[in-house]
Amino acid sequence: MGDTNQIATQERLVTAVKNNDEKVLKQLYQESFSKIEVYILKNNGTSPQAKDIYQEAFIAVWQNVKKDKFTPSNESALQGYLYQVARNKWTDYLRSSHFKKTSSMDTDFQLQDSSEENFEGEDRNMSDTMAAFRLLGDECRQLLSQFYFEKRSLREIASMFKIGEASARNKKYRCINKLRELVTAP
Amino acid sequence: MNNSEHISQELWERFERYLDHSMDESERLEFESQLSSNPDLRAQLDEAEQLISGIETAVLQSKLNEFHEDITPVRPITPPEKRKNRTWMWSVAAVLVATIGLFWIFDTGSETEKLFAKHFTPDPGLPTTMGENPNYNFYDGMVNYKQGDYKSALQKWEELDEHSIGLDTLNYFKGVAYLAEGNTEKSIGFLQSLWDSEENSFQSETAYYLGMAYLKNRNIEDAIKYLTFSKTAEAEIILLEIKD
Repeated sequence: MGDTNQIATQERLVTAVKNNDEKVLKQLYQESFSKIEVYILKNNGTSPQAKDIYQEAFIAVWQNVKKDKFTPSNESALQGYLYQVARNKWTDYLRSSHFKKTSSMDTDFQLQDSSEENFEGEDRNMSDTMAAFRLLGDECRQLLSQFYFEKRSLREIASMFKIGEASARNKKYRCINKLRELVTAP
Repeated sequence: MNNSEHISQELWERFERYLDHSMDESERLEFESQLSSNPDLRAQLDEAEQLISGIETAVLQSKLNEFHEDITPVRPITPPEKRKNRTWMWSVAAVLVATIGLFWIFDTGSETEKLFAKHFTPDPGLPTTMGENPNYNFYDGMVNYKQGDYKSALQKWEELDEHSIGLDTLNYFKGVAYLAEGNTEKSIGFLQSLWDSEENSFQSETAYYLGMAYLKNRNIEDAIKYLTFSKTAEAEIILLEIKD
């Protein structure tokens, strides 16, 4: 019975993560970091490396949850999954040629900018979109962020921006087109 | 992204409804039928999905940095290459042992037991992962461990290949589980060899539980020595109580 409840708790957690519930994401992020940081520090890593690897892992886990690639099977499944993904990423990094090169040169380690480096192959488009999003004007970034990440309705957004709902809808469409232009720009 | 064809506002909003599962059944079926017969439409939908996912990921990434600012930094950990030099720590421990030892009027048996019972709580354990994990048996044991069923946990862990999870992790949790079960000799066996090894991800924790194991074993001198090494807040409290 206890297990059933705990899995139900995990399912609620997974749903909240899918909905980008900021409070839940923050709690998950903060409660799981120290264990991974300790692991990386004990395995030839530094705090900034731990942060980069952890954030990379966190985003990968969040994406997999959204794509239904993860189903909780026990009371701390999501946290365990996050820990495992981060450990694997660190192992991959230690085995990478980049690590061997920087180690042999005895220079300070620097992870590649995670926003650029973490998305390869089909995820290249994702990386382009993320870069383009950062180039958008403040208003478009705010509006798209409220609609797509915070999952706010057009009515809420209209009230937030002090405009009519129809204007908010049109503005969102214009911002999307602007983003598409930036992504496809050579 | 190579699909730069115009997408009308109406079509874009259809994509949104499809992607956030807000279409009703008939609209969805009709849309899926169009998708299967129209590769261009499918390509545009894929582009829309990537754009929305990219927006969400960019927002999340900026939020992660905000979340990170509120985290209390983990205690500094000695880098591996410096770990060998423990001479100064031994000196500090020796001085402490000498100072405390001189005035030691501990009624060893009951007092150390009381102190151990008052302060001992097993390591909370690792988060348990999914069933498909290659280290399933380790995490299966971890579920028992977290439920306080150390016997079952140890049975599973004793059968494990040492390389399946990492020798330090395995030995650490075996050591703590044996201590929780009351088998101090076995606990000390695992924790002491872990402390003496170079590969140890649980340096401070190992010293702490090793100190606790010696405390339970009425070996005050080694208890003080390892509790001093562990440098955890809990160990400092116990050391103060030993002094008192």
